[in-house]
Parts: sequence; C-alpha cells; structure tokens
Amino acid sequence: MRDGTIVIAGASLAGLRGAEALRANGFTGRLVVVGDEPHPPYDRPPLSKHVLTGEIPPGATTLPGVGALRAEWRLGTPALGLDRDGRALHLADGGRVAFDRLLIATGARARPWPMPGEARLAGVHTLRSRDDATALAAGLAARPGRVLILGAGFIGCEAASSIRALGLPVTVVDPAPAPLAGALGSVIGGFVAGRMEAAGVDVRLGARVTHLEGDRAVRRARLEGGGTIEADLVVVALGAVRNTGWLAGAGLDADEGGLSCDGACRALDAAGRPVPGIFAAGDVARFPHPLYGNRPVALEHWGNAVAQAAHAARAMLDGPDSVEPYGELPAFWSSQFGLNIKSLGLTEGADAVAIVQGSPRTGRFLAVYGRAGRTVAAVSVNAGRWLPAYEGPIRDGALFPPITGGADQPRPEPMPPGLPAHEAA
Amino acid sequence: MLPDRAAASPEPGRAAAVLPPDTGKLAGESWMRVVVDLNRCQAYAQCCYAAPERFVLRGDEILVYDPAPPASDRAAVDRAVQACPVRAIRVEHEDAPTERPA
Ligand SMILES: Cc1cc2nc3c(=O)[nH]c(=O)nc-3n(C[C@H](O)[C@H](O)[C@H](O)COP(=O)(O)OP(=O)(O)OC[C@H]3O[C@@H](n4cnc5c(N)ncnc54)[C@H](O)[C@@H]3O)c2cc1C
Ligand code: SF4
Repeated sequence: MRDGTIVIAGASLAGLRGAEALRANGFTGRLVVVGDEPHPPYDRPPLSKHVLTGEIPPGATTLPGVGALRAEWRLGTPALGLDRDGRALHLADGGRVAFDRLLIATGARARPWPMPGEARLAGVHTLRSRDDATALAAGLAARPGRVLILGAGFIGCEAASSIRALGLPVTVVDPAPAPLAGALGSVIGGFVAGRMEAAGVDVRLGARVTHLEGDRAVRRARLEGGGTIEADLVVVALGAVRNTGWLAGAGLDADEGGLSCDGACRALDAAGRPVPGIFAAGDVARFPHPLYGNRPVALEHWGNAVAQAAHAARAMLDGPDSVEPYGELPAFWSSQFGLNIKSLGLTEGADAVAIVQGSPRTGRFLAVYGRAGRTVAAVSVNAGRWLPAYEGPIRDGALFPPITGGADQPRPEPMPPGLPAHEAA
Repeated sequence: MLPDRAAASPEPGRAAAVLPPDTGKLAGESWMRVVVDLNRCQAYAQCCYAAPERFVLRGDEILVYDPAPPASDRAAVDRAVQACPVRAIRVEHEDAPTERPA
C-alpha cells in the first residue's frame, strides 16, 4: 500500500529515517510527522561530546534529510493519546490526526532524579535533548566550582570527559564497581576508569548518592553511609526510560522498558498479538532479537534507530510478511577520554571476556565476550579496524574465543567479564 | 567546532535553531547538513585530507566533524563524501521546501 495517510509519532532519528525510507520506497500518500520538541530532527550523539565542549553549537546538529523530506511537520506538538480503533492520534493542540498506518518512534527520555523536589533545584541537569545540552552548556559557562555526575554509564562518562576538557573539577559517582560496567563489564570498565582518573576525574565507585541538597540551587550531595560532595552543578545520568506514557489506555504492551513489537516492527497488544497498521522503531521499540534466542531487547543505539526505521517502513509498505524478522547486529560507538569505543553484539548475560588482539597496556585492544562457550559480542578500544572481523563469528555464534592463533599474539585467557548479574540499570 | 570555528562565517547553530525546517537560508547564507555514521567509519581520515577544516581525527581514531558547514565549503565537503572508503558520510546541501500543514 503506497497511498493513504501515514503518521509518524516522534520527530527524531528513527522518525526521520523512517519517513525517508517510506518515500524512498515509493510511498506517495500523505505523511505527517508529529514531534513534541520544537526542533526539526537533530543528532543526539554530539550533545554529550562536542556540544558540551562548545565545539559544536547545539543548533548545528540538525540531521541531513530534513530539508528534502516531503512531509507535514507538526513540531512542538506532543501526541497525547492513541485512539487505536478510531485510528487517530490526539495532539496536545487539541487536534486529531487520522492515519491508515502509524509509526511510533517516540524514543526515550532521561531517567529523572527520583526525588522531584531535589530534581527541581537549580543546577540539576539531565542530558537527552538539544535544549538540555544548551541549558547544561550555559551552566558550565558559569564555571561551577565542581560538577557532580550521577551515573557512570555512557552519557555520564562522555559528559565527564567533555566537562574535564573544559578544565572544570568533576566527580563521578556510581554504585557499580567500574564505569560502563552495565554495558561492558568491569574488566573493560576498569581500564576506562584508569583513563578517567588520569584525566583528573574524581571517580567514586561503589558509592551512591542519596540526596541532593541546597536551597533553590544545589550545593551538595549526600552519600549513602555518610559523607557529602560539594557541587554546584549536577548531571543526573541514570539511564533512559521509554516514552510510552502517551500510549496508556491504547491496549498495547508498553511500559517504561519499551513498546513490544514483532520482527516486522508491528506493535503488540496486551495479549501479545500484532496490531494491524501500527509499527514501532528506534529506542522505544522492544523486539525479539533473532541472534539472541528471540529475547526481547530495547536498544539505545543510533544505528538501530536508522536500521529499524527502514525495516519498519518496508513492512508498512509491502506488508509484514514480506520482510525477514528484524535482526540487525547491535552496534554502537562512544568516544571519551581520548578513547574510541566501538561495540558489536550484546554483552548482556556474557560469562566470559577475553582480550584477543592488542592489550590494555598499549591502549589499543579488542575484547570478545562469550556466553556458554559461544561468541556474543566484541568491543574495540582505539582499534575500530579490528572489529569488523568479529561480525561473522558473532552472527554465527562461533565458539568462544574466536579467531585465535595470530602468530604474534599470546593465547587469549578468558576471564569473568564483571557484568551485573541482572539487567544493567 | 574545528580550529577555525570562530572564523567560519555566521553561527550555524543560532540560525538552525530558530528556523523552521523548510527554511535553510538566512540573509542569503545557508549551511549544509552533515552526519557521519560512526559505526561504519574506520578512521581512514580520507575526509580529513579532503576537507581539513570540517573533519579532524582526534587521538587515535575519534572523528570530529562540523555537522553544519557553510555552503561555501561545498566542493571540499563533496570531496570528503566521495573520498570516504566506507561511504560513511552523508550530506544534504540545502534545505528544500517541504509541504506545510494547512
Ligand atoms: C547525549 C546522547 C549521546 C548519545 N551518543 C550515542 C553514541 O555515541 N552512539 C550511539 O550509538 N548512540 C548514542 N546515543 C543514542 C542515540 O542518540 C539514540 O539511540 C537515538 O537518538 C534514538 O533515536 P529515536 O528516534 O528512536 O529516539 P529519540 O532520539 O529519543 O527521539 C524520540 C523523539 O520523540 C519525541 N517524543 C516523545 N514522546 C512524544 C510524544 N508523545 N509526541 C511527540 N513526540 C514525542 C521525543 O521528544 C524525541 O524528539 C546517544 C544519545 C544521547 C541522548
Ligand atoms: S573518510 Fe570515512 S572512514 Fe575515514 S575518517 Fe572520514 S568518515 Fe571515517
């Protein structure tokens, strides 16, 4: 079906790339893109990197493709609800947009600091949107005496790197034993911790902030078990929650962990049945991954938003039976403290890691993750060109560790990866 | 962002933030839109030779690029797109008009 009306909820990476794929595949009907942010789709990865350092102005991040897309833009207009049977969206401006097919691409938002009164103190920031980055950059320009970052995940660590580069004192607090432990485990995370400390970051691992204090503006953080950290700017980097609240009452299988969908990107109802005409892609989508035993996964990866949106577009136009189950190999990058970190596959549940090329001593290495004797993921640190060789072994679930026996390389010694036993926070 | 950022003509950020998506021009100026798929990028640095003002490698392999170069840099940015051995760079030259809601 290449005519009629398609509405896209969420005007960011997945929404834009989905819209482009619809047009590229011959959709000639009416295309409406609804976004709650006032901005046309922009790129988020630079926000925690070169936008915070002031090298890229926040507004420069608008994505290519926005200009040429033939679509009606409803920006600055949140979708408030989905009338599933009436096939329409309710918008915050009182409008109602009817659709024949809908692509849900409302992504995720920063998990807020759990105490709302404390979260409202001046100087407490989260980092997800262009406006967040603008506000945070303005706070940094006032040269706070110390910046406290809550959470040593990717965004917390990238922010720490950028803010250190501005010459500001930075403390990072995380209950985990290493930064990035949820995604990479404490072996690789421990290496990153060394780089953070070398850059002058005060890294407090195994520590937890219980309260933020100050009157009107934040002044200090209270630590579990006593002790305080004086800081006049706080970045809350505690992960993301999916933007599914607006779907409440529509009878879909959706919660803060995502909107469930099938391999054709069709949204599932509360009974797990695909809903005709309603699709999802990007950070909001929780889908069964065929490479990982069809375990439901919700990714927060740029590459997934692009690939899954294109997949959803094909399923929307040619029918869900015409596409293979979506099974793009998960991939992401991060840059921080002079390190370029790239990852393929999913480390979750891995029981072993082995450094198979290079060495942390030289600052360039490639680590492979295994689960029950099979290769499930690979991570390169300043060694991106070695990574593509592991794509095949991960896809095939090759014996772990794969690709041994390089002439100049000692046999890799697998060790426990130090991943959290349960899903990472 | 890049070394000559301050010297590069008008502030792309400010213009982009205030203009609706169907307007690429402000007082005769326009900007390209650039994004690099950094999963795909292998830090071959060909783009950095082709358009050194807009693409730089930092450290061993961190590519930093200007996502909104001025239109006057078009030839160099096009060379970078062509030079990339893994076709990781995407550019849009000028915001074309889009339909507007009625
Ligand atoms: C600071 C930062 C750095 C990152 N760095 C990297 C990186 O280095 N590498 C990497 O692989 N990934 C990175 N990511 C992740 C990547 O940016 C995301 O995976 C990607 O943005 C997902 O795109 P999306 O379109 O699915 O969702 P989002 O980008 O979250 O977009 C969803 C859009 O929908 C809007 N929306 C929500 N609810 C509604 C509603 N009810 N009505 C209308 N609109 C709504 C949201 O406001 C938002 O504009 C980073 C993310 C952030 C925040
Ligand atoms: S030429 Fe391509 S691969 Fe090389 S650094 Fe530039 S974008 Fe990356």
